[in-house]
Amino acid sequence: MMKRRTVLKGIAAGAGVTLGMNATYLRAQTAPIRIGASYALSGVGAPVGTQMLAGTEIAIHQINRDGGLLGREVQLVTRDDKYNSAESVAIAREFAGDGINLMLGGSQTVTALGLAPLAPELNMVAIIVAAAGMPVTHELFNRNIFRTTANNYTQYGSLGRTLIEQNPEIRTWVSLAPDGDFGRDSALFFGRAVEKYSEAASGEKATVLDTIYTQATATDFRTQINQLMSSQAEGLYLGIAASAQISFFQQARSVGLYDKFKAIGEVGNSDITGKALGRNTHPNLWSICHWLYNQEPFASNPVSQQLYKDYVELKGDDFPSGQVAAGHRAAIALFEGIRKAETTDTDEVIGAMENLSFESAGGPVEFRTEDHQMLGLNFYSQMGPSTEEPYFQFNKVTSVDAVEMIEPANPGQPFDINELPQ
Amino acid sequence: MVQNSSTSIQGRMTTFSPVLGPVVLTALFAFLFFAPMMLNAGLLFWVGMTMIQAIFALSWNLLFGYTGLASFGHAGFYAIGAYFTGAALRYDFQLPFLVVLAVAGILGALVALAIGVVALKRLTGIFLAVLTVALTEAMAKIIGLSKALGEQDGLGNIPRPIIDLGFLDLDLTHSHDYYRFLLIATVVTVAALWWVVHSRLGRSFRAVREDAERARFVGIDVARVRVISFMISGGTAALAGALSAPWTRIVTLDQVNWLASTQPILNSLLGGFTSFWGPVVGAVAYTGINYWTRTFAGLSEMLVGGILVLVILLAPTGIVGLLGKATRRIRGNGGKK
Amino acid sequence: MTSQAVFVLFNGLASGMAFFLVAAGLTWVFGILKILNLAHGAFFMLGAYIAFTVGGAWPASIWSFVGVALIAAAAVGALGYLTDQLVLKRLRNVDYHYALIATFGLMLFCEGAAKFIWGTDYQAVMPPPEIDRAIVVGGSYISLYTLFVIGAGIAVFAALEMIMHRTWAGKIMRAVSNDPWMAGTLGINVPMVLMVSVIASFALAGFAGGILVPNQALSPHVGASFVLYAFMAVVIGGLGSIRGTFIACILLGLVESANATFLSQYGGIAIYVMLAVFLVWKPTGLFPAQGAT
Repeated sequence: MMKRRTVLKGIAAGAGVTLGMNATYLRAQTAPIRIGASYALSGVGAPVGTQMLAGTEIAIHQINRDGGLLGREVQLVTRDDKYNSAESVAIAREFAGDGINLMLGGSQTVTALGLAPLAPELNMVAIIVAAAGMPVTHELFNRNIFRTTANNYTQYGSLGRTLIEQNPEIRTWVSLAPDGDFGRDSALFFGRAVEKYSEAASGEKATVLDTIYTQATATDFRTQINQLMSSQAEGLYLGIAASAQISFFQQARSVGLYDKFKAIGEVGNSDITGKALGRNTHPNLWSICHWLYNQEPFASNPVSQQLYKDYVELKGDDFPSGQVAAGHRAAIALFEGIRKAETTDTDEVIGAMENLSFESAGGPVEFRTEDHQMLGLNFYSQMGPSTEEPYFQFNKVTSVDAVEMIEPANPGQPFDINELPQ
Repeated sequence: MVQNSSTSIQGRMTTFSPVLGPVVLTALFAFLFFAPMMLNAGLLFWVGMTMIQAIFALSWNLLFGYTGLASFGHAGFYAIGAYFTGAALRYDFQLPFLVVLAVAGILGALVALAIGVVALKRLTGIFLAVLTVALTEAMAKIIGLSKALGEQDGLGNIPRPIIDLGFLDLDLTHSHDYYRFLLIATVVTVAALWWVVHSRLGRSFRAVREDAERARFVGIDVARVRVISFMISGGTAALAGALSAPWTRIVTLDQVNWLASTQPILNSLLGGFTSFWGPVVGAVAYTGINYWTRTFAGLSEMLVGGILVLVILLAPTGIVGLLGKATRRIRGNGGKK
Repeated sequence: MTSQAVFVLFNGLASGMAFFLVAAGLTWVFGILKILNLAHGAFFMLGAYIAFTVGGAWPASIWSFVGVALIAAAAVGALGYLTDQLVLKRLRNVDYHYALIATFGLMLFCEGAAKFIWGTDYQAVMPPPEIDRAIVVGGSYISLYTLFVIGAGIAVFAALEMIMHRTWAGKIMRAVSNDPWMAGTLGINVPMVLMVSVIASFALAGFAGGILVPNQALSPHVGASFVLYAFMAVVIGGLGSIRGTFIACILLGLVESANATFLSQYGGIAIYVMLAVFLVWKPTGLFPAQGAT
């Protein structure tokens, strides 16, 4: 059926050209494909959002350089969601009103939670770029949503596993997390994975202490730092993100926390923390890694090489943030879906994406058909201070395959770790 | 063109034109009613938000402009309405939607009553302002701890209601239908507020604002009048929040802090707090500025901030005041000729 | 238990003095102009950025650190002069609520400008090397930098007290604060006093920015976390009373610190409850300023 439609379209288009008629139909076939992008470009989410936008812009530049998509130019319509769910809702509606049915958004959980339930009403394909919250592929799941980043359970389980495997000598671990759904969950998943993989890593089960919580909006962590310093732990999971994480390190370093904790895994700031702290970066700091252009396996990956080249050319900066690849990956997912569907029609694109696999800067990835969750290798990087500009460096990258760490698909139902077979 | 529009607004403001006012309002209503057919969905969303913001600003100005009390925690009342309605729809409280709205308003009024009874006798001016800020921030912290209310992530995925009128079901699931319901609710609320400020009660509000001592002397129970004004104001703000929950379909803590509380203040002062319609004009102007600057990513804060400062410097009596002055000048010149 | 109590006490003092550094300028300008300057936190933030730009992320010594903070104070004071001439001066004779909207606009403008000038990347400034370590007191880890902040807060308080109560300039300030009209008839140049107050208030915000910048990651929103506490302290203190604000800051710091240690699951709530109770109990503040409404 699809084939017949395509053939018919070809004939119709040909007829249109020869007769010089049917202008609206022709326009639909040659007019640019418009894709909406809603990222946090101001407010606390801006440092991450601007990097993701850069990645998306590069993807658009690349596809147009290669002759566009379905023979049409791809145009990006960018909006600032201000890290605010009401704003992201308004943007999605504006896109729909302008006839845009393909969008990238949800660079953070707050905006994703506003956007996700809206996609079916607006008949949109919405790519959730970076929000890891479990509800997106569980109780909030609908078929218009695709997530191009690992979910909370997979991501922080893998981080915990990476940390205990890389640091098997550390016997006692603790988490410091903001008191909220995401913070509690990520600390729990991290701790469970540390316990689970510690025996294989060192032959002895590691101890995971009770998580220490902070207020979600806290900027002063001295009380918690004091608790950490008085604890037995030597390994730490840090669930505090964005500028608050940097404040934590500033306040923690002066009291000697760097000497006490031999390894720290953090929630996902990565080079944002490194850039801010420079020489004062913790020497064994592990992060979620989307991309590191000069480290394997990225360095030999052609998608990654091209991304780096275009980044330097377009942005005039030699040190791209890993988040760039997240925005790039989300855009490619959508392009490949459209290419496979051979149309921009919402239903057809969804159908094409449900079992899509494609090449990203981090190697091949695919969508799980049942809950539209992206699968592939998840990467974790270790960084520390350096003596040269920018005064921090990545020393190591490891990966864990999402397939080993992900929960069974259960779209429509809330996720509960205690219901999983251990 | 500027002169024309200014005369028409001035006409609405004064008793000068018993004909023009209703005509303008009817035209506005007709435009808003048919807006879903003319505007794209994004713009329509902002029009709906502007109506909600207008109610919210009117509720604040009832307290400030008419009774002389400044609340800096009005977002707290808004949030009471928004979270209650969000929860009622999300968890299906088995209440008709109109009852949900009414309960939301009553909740707001009751909280206002509680604050009023404890504090209003002694608190006016900056102290009331800061007390309301503190209570709102405390409420935000408590909501942030409540799992059922979505903690830091907000209460999302709120379904739109279906109103059962007995003989027919009003399905408001679709944006356009809920929008029209919102429009009618706005008209009813604004009309009710208009009636309040022009009633005897409204006159006693103003008497208290002008001179509390003298009002007391002529036999007005100042404390009681203040509490009543606070209750109506809080209830209306809660109603604004209640109407917003099904419109945005998500309620978050962004709406419960002192920055959110400054929104109705800005709208009222921008439009002009001495006029009944000032807060409405301010809400429209503020949304307009925001909408116009939305594509200037990275520059929008500077633009919005700069425009606010300029408006205050050039038109310290608000937009309505400025238009009034312009009209008077035109008329004054006309009179001399 | 005692070690915990020591920590709560120390930590509360440290937070309180950080609040006071920010609140000092706020209460001054409130006392004299009766303006609640919503942009105060934004100018604090500009001070922090200026300190970062001038002094870099690793201050060489405690002296250069303080020197840089003074430069930030001077620079933000100059911005204060500009703001006064362009904005605040024009709002002296209108309802004070208009000043609110104007300062709110200024706040947005400054945050936008900071993002435009310094970008959205976070920055981190470290304390100077002399105070970049910790001492252990009764099992609690206490950083020397926070001791330094406590000292700075007390020093600023002492200096302001001296100026306000022991000098000729302070007497004029208080006269204008109590009754500007009367002060004017006595031959005091009231507009000049008002302008100097605005500049001093802004300079204090800039100084606070320079001193507190190692405490937190530098971003255009860094002012927000201090400024609300500063507002509360100004009100509890009695609107314009520097002594009252100082005590209020210590109280707020102690409550916050005890809350974080003993009732951490309800973190951050106690401070607001305390404020509400206090307002109902003693609505004019600790040291009611004369003439304040």
